[in-house]
Amino acid sequence: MFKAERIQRIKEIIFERKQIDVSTLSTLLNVTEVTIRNDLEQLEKSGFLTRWHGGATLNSDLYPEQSIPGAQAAFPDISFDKEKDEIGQIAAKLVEEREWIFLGPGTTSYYIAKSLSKRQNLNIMTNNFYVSYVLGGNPSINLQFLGGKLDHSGMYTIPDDLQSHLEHIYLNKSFFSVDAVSIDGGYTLSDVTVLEIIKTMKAHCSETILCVDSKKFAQRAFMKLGDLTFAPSVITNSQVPQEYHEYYLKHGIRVFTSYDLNLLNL
Amino acid sequence: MDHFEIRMKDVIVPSMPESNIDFYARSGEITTIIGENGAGKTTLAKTLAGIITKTSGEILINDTSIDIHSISSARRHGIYMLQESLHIFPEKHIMDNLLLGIEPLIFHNRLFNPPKEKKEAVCRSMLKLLGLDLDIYQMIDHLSQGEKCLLQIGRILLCQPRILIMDEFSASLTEYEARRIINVLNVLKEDGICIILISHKYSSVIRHSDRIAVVHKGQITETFALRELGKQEFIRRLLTFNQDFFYPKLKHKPGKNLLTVKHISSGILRDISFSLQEGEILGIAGLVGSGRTTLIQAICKERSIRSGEIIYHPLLERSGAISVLPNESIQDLLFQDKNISFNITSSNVYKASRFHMLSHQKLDIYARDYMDRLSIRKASCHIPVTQLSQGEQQKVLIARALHQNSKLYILDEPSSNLDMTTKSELYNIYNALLSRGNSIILISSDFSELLGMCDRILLLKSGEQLGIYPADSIDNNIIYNLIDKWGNQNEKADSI
Repeated sequence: MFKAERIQRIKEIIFERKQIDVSTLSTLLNVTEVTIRNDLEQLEKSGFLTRWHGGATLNSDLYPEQSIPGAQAAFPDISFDKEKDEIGQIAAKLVEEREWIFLGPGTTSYYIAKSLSKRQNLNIMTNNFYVSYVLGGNPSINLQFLGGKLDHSGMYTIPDDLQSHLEHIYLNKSFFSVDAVSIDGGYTLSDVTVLEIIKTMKAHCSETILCVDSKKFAQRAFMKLGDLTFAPSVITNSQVPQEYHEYYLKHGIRVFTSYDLNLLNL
Repeated sequence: MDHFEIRMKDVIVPSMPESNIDFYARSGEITTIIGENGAGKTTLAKTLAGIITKTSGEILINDTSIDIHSISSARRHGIYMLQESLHIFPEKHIMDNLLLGIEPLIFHNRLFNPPKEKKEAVCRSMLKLLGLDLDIYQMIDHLSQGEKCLLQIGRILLCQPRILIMDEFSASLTEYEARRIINVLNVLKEDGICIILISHKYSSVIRHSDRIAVVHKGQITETFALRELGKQEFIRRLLTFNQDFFYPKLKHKPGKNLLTVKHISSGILRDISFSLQEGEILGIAGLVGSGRTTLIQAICKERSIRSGEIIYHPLLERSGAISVLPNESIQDLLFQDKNISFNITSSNVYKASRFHMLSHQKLDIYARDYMDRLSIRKASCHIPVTQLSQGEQQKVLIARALHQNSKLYILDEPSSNLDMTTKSELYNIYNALLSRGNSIILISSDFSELLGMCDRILLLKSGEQLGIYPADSIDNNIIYNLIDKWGNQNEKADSI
């Protein structure tokens, strides 16, 4: 395949899929990863995409972000992550009207909020500024924000006394993300305060749902939240390693995986 | 028949050089080999039946080593294997299917064809043993899968086997048919035949076995038997295999009405009505002979309807808008000697053509894209489909349907023979299909699957619509009781 043609193909593919990793592109086009990297570098220079370790994302100004009437557009600091976006869409389907939902810290919650932003009659509690930013513009969503000290890096608050805050509160579902997952190490987080928030919220919630994009598998972070059986439901992507998928099912954990079926049109 | 034991000792086969198999089974028992896809269950059985030649180790019957190096040498020792796919003589009647080629073995008459009366008598007694009420001159093509499978067993029984191996026989059968075969096997077991079944963990078959051997990565990791553990403990062990499956059910926003079926009658169907919306998954619960296939044919306009009407939304009028994955063996649905790429893109080659010229490069890009999205984990799109596992073949079929951009997917028993992980993957693919505004009609005799995944369930019994229920308002028992009386009779066997 000639270079010009290949670059054209890469452009088409990234335009359809928004985000792709080098190895997938190399199998799709049947050329080596080195070639793909060179091509991506050229495309990055031309401003078409942004490269990250192992892959590339389409630059967001090239495709129109779905404008949400009454709600805010994309949060300026967050770069588009397709896997988290897919997880957000699935999580939003699990949210039913008039339920009380907690959205935890992290950018995954931002994507859940984005998928929820057009809905009505939702009750949402959060300590995540991203979430309040997205949902704040929708008056038909009842939003409870937990105040406290701001964590600058994660844009969430650390409530002073969460236990007493929640004393008489019960929620239906809460969504959290973790930093790393491994079979021996369980779920791990690098932030102690987030870990405390998750543990406290779990006790006040009838269902805890963990959102783990597939990049986080087979890794370990600083502190352990719990075993892989910590939450009865897990949302992840189709690229979840087989052994994890099997482990979850064997332990009676419901696994939602996203499949992107918006197909290529060359 | 005398009591005997068969043992495989340190057997090594070419395809799994690093694992040696130690296997044990005895006469008068049903031994079930269970394991994941590709764990080596079939390899083990094929070695025993002489289809695969072992490189080392020995096979012993009652501690005397026997030489098995080919199918015929295995048969000399009375070892017969029924393979996963059906092997019948099409367009022949039942008697021919039972007897062709094995007459000398039965009648010990090598020169002349045995007398017709004798042949008829042998066949009639065999049909009686199998519990089949059929005419021996009936053509085999019109029989159900279960009856064909029974006839295959009959054919082997005529050869007087000592060891009968059956590979995933329940795969293409409904639960009712599988039970019927289990009943026959139980009779054979009493006669002192050693029966070896190959199955998945989640199959209902394992409830009926006396001994379980778990295969993992080519080795037997665990065995236990009813007679050693006692009934209670044995069942407890079985239960650990049969944990509840948690279905990843998502609620999708229903859209336009895609299909409305109004009081249709066709074939055995009488007065069926339902409607289907975008983003909805409708389950059809019914046993064999309930008219499920007729209903599919009527929807696909392959069969005329006597009365009533079917209203299609304009979106369904386009060709390729309805995809059917029928309940046939996957082998019949794929182009066996072609590669993955061909099999996926064959539904719409125009998508990769320009001015009537076909670009193979584009076809391959499409194929690799589907493989990536549906996680068909293979290195190349050029390997033949025969090398894929069942679950992957099923995914290839879904990719093919996706490639023609179908709107309505009719799936007939799509996950009857898949392991848990593949099942879960498929269910999530359904979710992705539904969230794109497609609709699914899911036909299954696994009622818990219907309850777990569907929005509404239509109950069919011998062509009649027993009702249509939201899936969250009913449970397994209600369906069983509504659908058939034998559900009650066999409850004891089921309650395990």
